[in-house]
Amino acid sequence: MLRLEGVTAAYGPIVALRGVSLAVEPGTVVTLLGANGAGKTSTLRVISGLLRPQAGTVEYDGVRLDRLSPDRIVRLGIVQVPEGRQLFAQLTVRENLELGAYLRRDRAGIRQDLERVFSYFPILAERQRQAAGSLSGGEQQMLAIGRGLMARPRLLLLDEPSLGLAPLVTREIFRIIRTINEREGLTVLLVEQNARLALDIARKGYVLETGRVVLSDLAENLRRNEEVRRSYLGY
Amino acid sequence: MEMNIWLFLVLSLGVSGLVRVAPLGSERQRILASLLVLLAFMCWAPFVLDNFRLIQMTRIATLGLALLGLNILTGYNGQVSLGHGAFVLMGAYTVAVLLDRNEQLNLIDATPWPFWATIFVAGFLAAAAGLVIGVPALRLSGPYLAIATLAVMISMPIIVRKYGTFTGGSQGLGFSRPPPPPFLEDLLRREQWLYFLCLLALVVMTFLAWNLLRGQFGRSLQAVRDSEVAAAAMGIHVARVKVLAFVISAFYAGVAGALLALISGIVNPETVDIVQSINYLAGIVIGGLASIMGSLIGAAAIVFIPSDAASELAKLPFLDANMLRRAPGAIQGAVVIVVMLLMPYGVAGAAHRLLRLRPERALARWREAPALARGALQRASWAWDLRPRSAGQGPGQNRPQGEVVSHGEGGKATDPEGDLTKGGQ
Amino acid sequence: MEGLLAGLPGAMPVFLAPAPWEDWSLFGEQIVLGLLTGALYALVALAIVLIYRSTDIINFAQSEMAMFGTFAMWSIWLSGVPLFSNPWMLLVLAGLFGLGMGAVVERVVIRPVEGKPVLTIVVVTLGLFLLLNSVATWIWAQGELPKVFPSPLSVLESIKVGFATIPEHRLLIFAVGAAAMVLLGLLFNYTKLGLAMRATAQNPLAAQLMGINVGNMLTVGWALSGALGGIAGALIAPVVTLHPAFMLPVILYAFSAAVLGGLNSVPGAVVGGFIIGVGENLLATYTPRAIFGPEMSLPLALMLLVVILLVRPTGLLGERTVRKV
Repeated sequence: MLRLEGVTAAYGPIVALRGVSLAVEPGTVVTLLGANGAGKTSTLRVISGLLRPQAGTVEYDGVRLDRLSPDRIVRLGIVQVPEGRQLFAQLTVRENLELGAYLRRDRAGIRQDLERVFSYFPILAERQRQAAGSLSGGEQQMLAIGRGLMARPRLLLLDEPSLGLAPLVTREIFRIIRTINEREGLTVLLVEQNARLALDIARKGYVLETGRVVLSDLAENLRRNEEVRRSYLGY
Repeated sequence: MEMNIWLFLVLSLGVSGLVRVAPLGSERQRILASLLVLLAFMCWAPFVLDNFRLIQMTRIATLGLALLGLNILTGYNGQVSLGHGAFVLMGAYTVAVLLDRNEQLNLIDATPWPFWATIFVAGFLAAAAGLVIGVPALRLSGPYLAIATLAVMISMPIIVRKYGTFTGGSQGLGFSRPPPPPFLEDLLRREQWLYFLCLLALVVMTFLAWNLLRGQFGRSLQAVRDSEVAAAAMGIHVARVKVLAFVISAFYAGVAGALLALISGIVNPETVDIVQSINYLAGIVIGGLASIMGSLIGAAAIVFIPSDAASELAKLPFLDANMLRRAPGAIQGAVVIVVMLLMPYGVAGAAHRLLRLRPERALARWREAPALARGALQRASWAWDLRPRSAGQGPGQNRPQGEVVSHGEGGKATDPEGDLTKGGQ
Repeated sequence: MEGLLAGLPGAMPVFLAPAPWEDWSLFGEQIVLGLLTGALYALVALAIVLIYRSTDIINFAQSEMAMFGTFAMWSIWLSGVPLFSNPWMLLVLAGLFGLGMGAVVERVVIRPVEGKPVLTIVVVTLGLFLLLNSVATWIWAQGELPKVFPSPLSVLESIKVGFATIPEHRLLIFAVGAAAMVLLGLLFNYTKLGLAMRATAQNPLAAQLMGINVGNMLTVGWALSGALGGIAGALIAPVVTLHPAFMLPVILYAFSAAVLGGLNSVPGAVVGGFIIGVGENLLATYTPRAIFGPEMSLPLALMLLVVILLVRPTGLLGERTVRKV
């Protein structure tokens, strides 16, 4: 269970988060919505230890995250698939996936997970030996998610997986995310600008605006909420 | 009378610093005043410092020019050059050749050049060389440019030494330093006169640089440094700016070299070598990149650290003077490293931060203080108010209507307007 | 190597050699010798590229770190402990010492300024250069003559290999250098650590998210770089004798080699090293002494480098990084 309480964080003089509080129950998909610059990516950065909060706490199953270094946080099973993929472009698809499992020592388990990732994303198996930079946008996103899965995470943080992708590909990816969540019970915190798709697969949602949580509710309620419909769903 | 140089420096910087932060007049007036005060102190220097220190200050003035040139190129424009010393050396040799080997050149029928003319020639020749280097430099970026200029700088002394007919080879060239002009002859020693000469050159050229850098050109320089693509998209002619940066920095270097030659009377391949060139770079980084003041601070650093760090540190109880004297480079290296660790953005950068932080916040809080105090007093004063209170009436009732307190802490509970409108009378 | 020796007192004079087409075997021999020396430059060039690739820093203190280590090895050799008198052992120790030194330098001096402007870091390495040079002079070489450093093989005796007469030690330089490079290649391409290092060099942010401790990777990079430098120092010292400035010509040629091959490119450093080795040898042998002389071999080599850079601004094998604006 991930819990943020009153998290305030800034980049130098620019305050990105003002007292953000949220909770992610295990086995659920929770989505964080908001416009550009609302603070969604900053929230994920705080969770992953890339940005130190000035105030507030971040807790995962009782362990304080806000003082830990990024690699310790990954060790706890919290894995982020960052915005823009951030692949290792000159390494092969397979090497990228192997790096996802960097912290693990169980070779058999790693092999198993590799097979599993290939079963979710068969195109990756085809392009195993290709340089990651040579893949199409959708394939890169699949690789990024697959790389995240290779760590056998307990909590997966997804930052704008739909960014820059064609609608068809995006739908496919979201379908796979939902499948993974349902089949393996993987907890997912999904940051998205594409509110419609996100609310389709999420159980709960938070809406961020200029660093504050302005709405928090079950996804089905948010889908019907007037504000949300006007600002983020477009109707 | 003679004053210890550190005392002198602390005095001059301290007083001009005080003038800078004194709460009188506008920001502009304060800056101008503090600079004038500093200049006055610097004019006073030749009469209170001993000869050795005076010569050092003169060197600092000339190096300040050289570093200013390098800062224009590297700090403002982002082109890292380890070959700046080559332009300085050129300037120095130009002066030496014009004053020493004049007969061989047959340029002007053997009448000696007036020394001030040689300064100009040195500057312009060096600027021409800057053009020659600046154009091919367009093709190189970052570390490649650094290493290419490093290669040029390493080769220079060797070439100068080898082809000595022009340059006097390893011996170098010598000439007599210019004496004070007739109307000053009785007032100033030669060292003092040379000091004022360099100081004058420094002031004039610093003013020129300041003018140049705060205008459009300065902005173009930095725009190109930060992103060539964006600068080009804004309509800046990137190539022209970059080459101009080289030309201008070379001009400054040439003048600096000319002055260096004039104050010492000899020029040889060792006058400016790769070590000096590296020192220049270290100087502007320590002083502060993209900062005029930083260039001058850096010049002071690269003159004072090698000469004094060892002897000053030896005064510390746990360091052995003998040991320190035998490894002067070690001290210099260690000092450079420590300075960089403590002030990664240079002295100017650190000073800038200090000035930004405290005075503004303190000033703001100072201005707010009366209102804050009043607010606090009034919030507290209801405790002494013995009049019966109706519901909704609370703190803030004593205040005349309409006054708004600039809020310090969250003014929710004590919002006067709110209380007045909600509470009713 | 002739260029390196030219500066020393009592060194071999460079004659105006017969042109290549008059004496092919001399030409061939010079090429072979150049290749052998090139391995040394390639080693040090690799050290430079290793650090540059992962951190965009040029380690100007590289040469002095190696020099310091070699002097330390010399002291160890003199100590008389039987194990340490074996020159092969010294080579290994030189590598280990360099490893440690690189790690310490990264932690103590570089770590505090990581993330600060590149020029600041450059100045720090320059300061380190001064510091090490001075301290080494103070400890080992105050006004003394250059020292003899032992080599496992003879510096003076030569073997005849085909048409060329090659000093034994030169063969050792090549063998050890090549072995070191091969080992490094294996490390990078076939081990998990190597993969992590490559990943960190490409994308430190993503590497962090994989759980890679980026700081540790940098330390390892500096350590490896230091090791390469240390080995190079121990290899060249027997030839040019040990004095505080002995690594300077090497580092200059190594910089040239790294830049020539492309600062981003590991194979470029190797190729560049060999090209510089051969080029330097040929220049020193064949340039007419009347116009140029032995002292000019360095400037000539450097000028040649500048010319090549103007033609290929990012080196022969360097990648032009496409920047997204």
